Amino acid sequence: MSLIYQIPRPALWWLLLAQGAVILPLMQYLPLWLIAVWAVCVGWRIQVVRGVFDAPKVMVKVPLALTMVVALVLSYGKLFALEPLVALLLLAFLLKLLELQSQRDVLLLLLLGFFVASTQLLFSTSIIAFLYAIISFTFLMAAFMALHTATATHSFWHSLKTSSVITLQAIPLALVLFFIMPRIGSLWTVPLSDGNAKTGFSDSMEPGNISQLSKDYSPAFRVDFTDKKAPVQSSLYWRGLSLSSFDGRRWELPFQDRDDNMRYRRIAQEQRKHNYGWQVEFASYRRKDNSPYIDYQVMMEASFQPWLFALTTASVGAKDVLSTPDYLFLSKRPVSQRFLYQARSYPEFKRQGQSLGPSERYQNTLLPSGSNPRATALAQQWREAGDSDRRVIANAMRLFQREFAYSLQDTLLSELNPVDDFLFSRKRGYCEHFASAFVVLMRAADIPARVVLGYQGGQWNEEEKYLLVSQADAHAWAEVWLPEQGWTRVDPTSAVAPERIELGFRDYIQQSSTANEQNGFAELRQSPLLMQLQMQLDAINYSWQSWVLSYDQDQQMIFFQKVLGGQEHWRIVAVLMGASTFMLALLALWLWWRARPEAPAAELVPWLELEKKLAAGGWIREPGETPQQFSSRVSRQRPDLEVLLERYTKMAYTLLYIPIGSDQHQQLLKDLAGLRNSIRL
Amino acid sequence: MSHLVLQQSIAQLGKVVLGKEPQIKLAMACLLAKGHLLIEDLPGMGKTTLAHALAAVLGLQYQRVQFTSDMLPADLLGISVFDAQNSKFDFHPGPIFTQLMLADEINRSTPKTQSALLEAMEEGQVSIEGETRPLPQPFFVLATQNPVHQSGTFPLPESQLDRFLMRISLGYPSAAAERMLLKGINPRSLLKNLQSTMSLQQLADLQDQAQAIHASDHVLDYVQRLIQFSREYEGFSYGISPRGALALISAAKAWALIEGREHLIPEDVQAVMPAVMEHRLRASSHGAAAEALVDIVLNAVDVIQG
Repeated sequence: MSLIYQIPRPALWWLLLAQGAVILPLMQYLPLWLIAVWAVCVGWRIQVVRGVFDAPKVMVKVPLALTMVVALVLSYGKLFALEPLVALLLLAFLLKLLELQSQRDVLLLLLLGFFVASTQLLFSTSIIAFLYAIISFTFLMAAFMALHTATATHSFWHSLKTSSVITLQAIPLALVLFFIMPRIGSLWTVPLSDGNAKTGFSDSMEPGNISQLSKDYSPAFRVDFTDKKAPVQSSLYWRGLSLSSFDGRRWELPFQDRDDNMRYRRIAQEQRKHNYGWQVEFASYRRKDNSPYIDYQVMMEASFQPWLFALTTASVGAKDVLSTPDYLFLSKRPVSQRFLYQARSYPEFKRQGQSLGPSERYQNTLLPSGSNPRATALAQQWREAGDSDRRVIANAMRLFQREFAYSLQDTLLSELNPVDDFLFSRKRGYCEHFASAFVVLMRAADIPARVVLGYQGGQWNEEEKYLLVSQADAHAWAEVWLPEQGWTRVDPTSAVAPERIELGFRDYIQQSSTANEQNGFAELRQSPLLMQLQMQLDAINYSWQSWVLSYDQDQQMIFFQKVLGGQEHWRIVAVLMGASTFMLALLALWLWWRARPEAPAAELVPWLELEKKLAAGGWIREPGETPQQFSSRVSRQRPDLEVLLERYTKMAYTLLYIPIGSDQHQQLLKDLAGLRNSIRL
Repeated sequence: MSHLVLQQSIAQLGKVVLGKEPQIKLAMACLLAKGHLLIEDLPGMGKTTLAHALAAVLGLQYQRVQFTSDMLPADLLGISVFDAQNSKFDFHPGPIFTQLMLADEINRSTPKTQSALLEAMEEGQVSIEGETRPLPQPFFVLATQNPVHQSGTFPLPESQLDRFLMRISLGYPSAAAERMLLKGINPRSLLKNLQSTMSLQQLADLQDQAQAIHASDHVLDYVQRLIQFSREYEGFSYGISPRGALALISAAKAWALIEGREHLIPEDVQAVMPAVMEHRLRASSHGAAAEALVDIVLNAVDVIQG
């Protein structure tokens, strides 16, 4: 092989560095043994370069590659999903290291590297991932530079310097393309392998599964209120789904609603025939002028669940989203990527003179027979005392308030009759326990009731004016049917720990005196500095999402309309050409500026002026001629000028030895100008 | 004042070396710049007369050494002789222990002897038998050589040529000067009547004054352009060294002093350029004369601006 095709060492080191940079973020999502594969490949490659090992033979390479693919399939159980396919790509990227022979192979590997580095953006689109991708690209470019400047004697870091400059130069172009390139919606969606990808709560509730979320500060969604004012915490009940089926321990959706697709299709079909009664009423309520409402925009993180979140009695504007009979929202497909929707809530909307259908009443008062007997007995006792529905509710709330504690400890209740266990022996628990026990009590007293899952509160970001709702804000509460009011929210947690509702979960942990070591909240406390840092980071991410990631076709059209005054193609082309002309002009200006002729030294100017004047008369100084020689040459032909020229030359020489700016200097300049003017050719 | 002394000296020299004022001035400039002078010419052109006259006018001790092919370094530097009476070695200094030494026909001696001159010329001292002995101050070497192509010569190597600040040649005398010679007026006979025009102290002062001549940036720019051109021009096999550049500046300063100025102008540089540079340049293709080389540089480089 010719020497010039060999891989220069700096290029190889840069390649390995870039490879490391590309692999690193992917390790969050892919099996860790790929690191080991990489280490082996790097080790082998380095030994080959040092001349210790031979390059692997085909007999080694082929079985190795096959084994790796099989290992991949085994560790995922399938091949055709996003993660295994990215892992396969990465594997190819790593194993190719063993095959490097010529510069061409390195080139191929580097190009593959750009592709692999982009795949991390399939998993995360945060600004950090984006910046990291740019850094990876810079490293890959550095390897390119090292490959192509192998003959130059630069230092090792020179490549990185050059590639950084190239990256910086690319930024204006990237910006122009970002704003102007047509935004094509995703042509296909790649399903992430499901399973642990689901975040937040599931579609059922049993003791322990909400309190688990209390440690999870990852964002659930962010809300941008149109009036940009901090809302009242205690009013922020973000309803997600209502559970009305109970088996003695676990709350679930009614049996017929458990398949999301079926449910969606059924509701869609029903709504095609007729609107629900509440919808008709709601529509006319909305048309009234004086109905108070709140406008907001929710940017929801991927939850891989079909339900959306909104404040009470909302209308949501989004495609393929249905309102369900229980005032909730169901999306046609699970929210598998960040999802932005507008919503308007009418908190004071109440239905007039409504009634609960028999099947609904049955569904919402059903308790499994024989379970939780003591709780049932207690409620029936209240009922038999002749109390009204409201008195029964008040009884239950008073019971919680007096004898119960809000706590994260001891959340797993006994398998049998967990509500009895909670009500009569443990007497402490988290929101799901209170909600569950409350609804059981209500149902035992023959009041229709259901559990609602969602989020309560959220953290207001004062700088960016938005509300961050994280998984830790997950909450469960109850809704009871009151004949004159319809479904009414009752939050038993507010009786036990009113501060939780008034402050929001995070501030409750941080500030409240009732949150202490014994109930397990204090250990969740963070240092205020860390919290502030998290808030700031979240604000950056939010800006990133709302300004960059949500720039879609509609936004682009708005942008064109605003900035260009229209959406016609010629405007876009004109801007593109204008922008490029502007940049090239800047570049040209800079190049000209760099190569501009240097101004002659000030002390030479008088002499150059004279030369110019004599040149007009046909006398041109030879390069090697000194002023004296030149002036005497001229004098020979024009004896009349001899005296003048001799004086002038002498004075011009004197000028060289006089400090610039001195009085003498000024005087000389004046004299020289006078002399020059008196020369008549 | 100093100018007057210099004018007198040059006038005195002019009486002995007829019609060679430019060369006399160059020789003076060379001595004022504390450099050594190489005079290259055919035999019988007055080289020795010039050297002798210089020594007489400046009032310097003078020694003349005729270099021959069988000459050894000891003949030049001196030798230790055993004194039987005192039973110790006595050093007998050679002719180099003088203030102005005329090394006549330097290229007739072997390289060994030529190189014995090296240390003396550069350091102002000689090392003999492991002992370093200083030479008198001032110390000038005035060497003459016959044109290289004459038979029986060992051409001086570049390193040694570089140690001479200037190389000049006297050339044939003018018709008027020659007529005087032919009339029988032998200038050599005038030598013994020559009066020294300055003291050693005055000479040292003049040398200091030459050093102190102002050089403006403009002139330094010009010198740097000249040097740069000599290094880049492909007609030369090598450019001018930093030592060559320094030599050019100090020679030009001495020239400016002789011209009666306290500052440097480009004309000074041009005046000394052939003498200083001729022997420091070599054409990359043989055949071109050194004189032409300096002219190439002077004609190509702009005096005013780059």
